[in-house]
Formats: sequence, C-alpha cells, structure tokens
Amino acid sequence: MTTYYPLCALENLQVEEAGAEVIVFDSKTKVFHLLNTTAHSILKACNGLNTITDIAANISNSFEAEDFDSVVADVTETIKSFESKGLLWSVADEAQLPSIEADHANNSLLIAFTVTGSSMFPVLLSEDRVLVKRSSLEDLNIGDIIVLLDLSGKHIAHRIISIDADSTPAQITTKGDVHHAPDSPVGIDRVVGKVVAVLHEGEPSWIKEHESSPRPRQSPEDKQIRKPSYKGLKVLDLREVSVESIQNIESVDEVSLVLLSPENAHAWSSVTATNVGSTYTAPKEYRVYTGQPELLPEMLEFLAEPLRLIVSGQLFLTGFDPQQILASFKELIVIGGVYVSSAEAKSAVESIANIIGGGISIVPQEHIRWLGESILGPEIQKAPLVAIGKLAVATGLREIPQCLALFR
Amino acid sequence: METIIRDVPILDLRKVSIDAISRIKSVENVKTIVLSPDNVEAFMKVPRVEVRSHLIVHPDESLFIGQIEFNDSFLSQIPENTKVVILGHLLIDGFSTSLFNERVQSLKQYGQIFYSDKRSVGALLARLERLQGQLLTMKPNAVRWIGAVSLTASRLAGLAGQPVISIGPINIDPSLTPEDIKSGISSMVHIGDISGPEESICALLSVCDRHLGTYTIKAEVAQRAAVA
Repeated sequence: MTTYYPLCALENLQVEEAGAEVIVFDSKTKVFHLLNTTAHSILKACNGLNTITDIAANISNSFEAEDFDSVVADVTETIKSFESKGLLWSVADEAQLPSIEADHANNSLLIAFTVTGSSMFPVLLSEDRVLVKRSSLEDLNIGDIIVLLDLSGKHIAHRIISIDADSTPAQITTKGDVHHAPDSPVGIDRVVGKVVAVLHEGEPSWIKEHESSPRPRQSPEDKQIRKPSYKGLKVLDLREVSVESIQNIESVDEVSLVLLSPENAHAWSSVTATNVGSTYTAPKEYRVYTGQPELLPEMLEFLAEPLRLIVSGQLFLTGFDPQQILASFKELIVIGGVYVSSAEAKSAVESIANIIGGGISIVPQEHIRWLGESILGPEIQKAPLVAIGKLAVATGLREIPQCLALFR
Repeated sequence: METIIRDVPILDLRKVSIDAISRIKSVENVKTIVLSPDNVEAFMKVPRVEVRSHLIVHPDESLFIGQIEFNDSFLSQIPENTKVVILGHLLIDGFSTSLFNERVQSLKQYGQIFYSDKRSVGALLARLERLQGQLLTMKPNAVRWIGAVSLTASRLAGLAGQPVISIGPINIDPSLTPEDIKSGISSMVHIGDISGPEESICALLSVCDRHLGTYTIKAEVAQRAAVA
C-alpha cells in the first residue's frame, strides 16, 4: 500500500478569505471554489510532507474532536474531493515506485526524489526534493529537467538536450547543467517523468509551463562574507581581481606563482601566504604560459610586436639564434628554467630575461625529452636525452649509455 | 541552504548568478572552473580545495571544449576575428596561416598543444595569449590515443609503423616483450602514467621523443607473466 502526501496545487490557486469562508480561484481551470474553515484548514495542511493521518490528527487537535476515526474518514473524503477538482497533488516517495506502478495511475500523482550531488547547480541543490510528474514523449521538450533511470540503474535528474523521436523507442539525451559531456542516450521507457517543482527546505518552487527551471531562490538573510583559502595551485592569477577581494583572502599556501596587477599589488601584503614560490606584478597584457612551452623561431614571422611573456615552468627556445631571441621578446620573466640551443642564445636570454628560481641551460637542438618520473633502461638508443624531474635507472643497467648527452 | 560542489572535471559557472554563487559552501576536486567577468568577484569568496585552475571567459570570447583537430576545417567554421578559448587538447597537423589570421584574433589554451607543422604553430604562437599546458612536437599524421590505453599485441599490430601521440595512462600487457614494443612503435609522444613490467616501461620510454608523466612498475604482474 502506497503512502501519499497530499500537496496543495498552490501554483494555480489564489486564496482569499471571505468572512467565515474562503474563496479559492483556480487560475488553470478558471473555477471558483468556496471552502469552509475546516476544509481550508485541511487544504493548508496539504504541504506534501503530511500524510492523511497526520492531517487528521492536526484537525482533530484543532477542533478537539473525540472520534478520531470519523475525522480520518472526513479528511480522506475532503482530500479526494480536492483531488477530483484539481486542487491537490498526491505525492509519493521514490522508494514507493514499485507499488505506485500497481495502484496509482491518476494524473495528479507526483513522485518525490531526493537530489544528491551538484550536477544541476544552482537549479537543484543537494538534499532538495524534486517532484516529478509522469510524462509521455509528447510532454517532453528540450530544456526540461527530467528524472530517468540511467544505464547504471541510478535515478538522475538532468536536463534534456536532445530528443530523437524517430528511434524505437524514442531516445532522450540529457546533461547535467554543470557538466560538459552529455549523458548516454536512454530510451523513453527509462524516463520517470518531468520535474514540475523543487522542494527546497520544505517550500515548493514550481516550474511553470514553458519554463525550464524554477524561479531563483531567495537570498539567505544570514548571508555572510566567507574568507577563501587557496592551496596547491600552480598559478594564482589575481590580476583581474579587486583590492577588496585580495584583502578578503584568508590564506594562500603551496602556490608556485601569484600574479598581481599594478593596481592591486599593494593589497597582497595583507594576505597570509606560506610556501608561495613567487609573486609577480604584471599588467593584464602580459602573456602567461605555464608548463613546458617550446617556442619556435617560426612564430617571429607572425608576431605583430615582441612578446611580453611570463613563463612558470621550463621554457624551451629551440633553434633560436641570438637575434631572433632579441626580436621575439620585449619582456621575459621565467619562474623556472630556460633551455636554449647555443651559448650565444644563452647570452641573449641573459640580457633580456628575469629568471627566478632557475637558470639557463644549453641543450642540443634535437633531443628526446622526458619530464616527471622516468626510468632509463638498456633500450635507450635515441639521444641526446634531456630528463627533467626524477630519472631512475633500471635494474641491471650497469652504466649510463654514452648517448645520454644531458642528464639533469 | 549552501552546497558543496565536488568531483566535477569542468565546472562551468559562466551563466550562474552572483546570488547563486554566494550559496556555494565550497568547491572540491574540480579540474577547471569557468567563470565570467561578472561573477568572478563573487566566486573569489568561495573556498576551494583541489582546484587545479580557473579561467575567466569574457563575453566576447568563444569557448571550445574537448580535443580539437585545429585545421582548416575547424577554422572555416568560426567567424572572423574570433577570440578563441580552448579547454582541451589541440592537435595541429597544419592549417592555412592566412585563414588562421583571418579567423582567430587571439587564443587562450588550457590543455596540451601538439603540432607537427612548425609554420602553423608559429602563426598560432604569435596569437597565443595564455597557455596552461604543454607545447609539444609530434610526427605528422600520428595515430591519436586519447584516454586510458591497454598496450597489447593487437594494438601494436594495428599501428603499421605509424607514429603515436598518446594522452592518458598506458598499461602495458605483460606478455609483450621489449622487442615487440620497439619494433611496433616507431615514435611516440606521451603524456600520462605508464604501468607494466620494468623492461617494458624502459622499452616504451626508449621510443618516446617526448614523455611527461610518471611510471609504475608492476612487478607481480611481470613475475606471473614470466611463470606463465
């Protein structure tokens, strides 16, 4: 036996008190209903959280009724009457899906699912309850949020991005709003229905027809400014951030490079920073490359003006002659190392670059390059090898091959 | 109610209101967060853990996500003077530099760039404003292995001597010998972890012109294979 939680269809109803009675106008059907005080109390108690027994208990207490069974019978009859007039939804929990299949097929049924995860942020938050109305293919449109049984057997609430009505069965493709990859298409037979309302902290927010999301939530009154912390970043680029936001940072830890603009650099002194590799002040126009970029002389042909470049990592200037280096860069800041192909190129880089925490190395123009953690075995035949990071030696390798020109 | 967002590869918040962002309690284990100039200030107040990068995409910029073969076909589909932002890998076997200069006003790249044509990448570098990733050379028309790969005899046989570019972990079948690997792969560029028997890892590294990542020796697997 399925337990239902009646929910007043308030999205369509306008309620006005008229003396001892209440006038309810259903804007969907354009019908007026006149309710007495008791009926109105029952309607108000239909919040999607109370069972009929709960509502009867409330009514019984309010009116000090002695015969609880007859109150239950009256409430049940009143609720059935409301339901027949389209004033109520019957809400059942997702756990009752199997029994719903057996005993409930009416049009006023909603199934409540609890949201987990944040794939539909900010429309749906974790712990929200979504109310789902059973829907056929004709009821569904691109942009609707639906609940479906995915291929792993889990119920998910995602937004429809495409409908293939020509397939048999029709195929529905959905996607979480914060995801970029769509979900695997599923047949219409796996669709439970369309989300028509979101219960957020007990308050239903209805999705109107022709809208794909509920109205925005109200701001919390107790909104307070939180202080963020940053940890474990390669680059924290604060150049486009206001002075106020920088002053609001709680702490910065384990960040290789912090970039500031001339306008906000003075605010950095108020930040608690530990294990920060470097801070650098540069206008927004400076280019920033992180990683191990390898620039080529070929780019010179296309440069409108020399580069102002910040590199965090290892910069390879392969095949550049000194003149090309001087023509390529107006400013060069490297937090890490620079690798060039000749002593002359090294001198040119030294004359223009500000290198922090590293040096300039000469490597053969043609080389193998391993970065990170690598292992050197007897098979190595190509050379020279540039290894940056950790290089282990394989078991049984008794001597380093002569072809290894550079080991760093 | 506040929410915690976790375990999302790319979190696109460009169209999320400041009010909604203020409701985020924290962001955890997200590779990249995409923001707009309008909400970046609001997001500054959100604590985050294990967030690798965040990027601000301006309204006049076009964001492309995923692995992109950056060629004339791609370029011909974008409007003139597009400010391109790419979140993903860029593979360049060559394009018309005049078409590139016509269509791409600027480029921000968050991911790897692999190229085989120096003139094309030269044109690209001239307009590359931001790079977060590697810029690596590859052999022309290399076979693409994107994602986790199990290196088996049949996969090697399918290469037919073509060079390989691989992004993602490679697990070497213990039944492969170092000779199988060296004779099966002419040249490779690889980003990611390599796992398998020690001698197989050494053999695979020996054919890697470029390698970025780590390795894991699976001794037990190797021993079982030896016994078998």
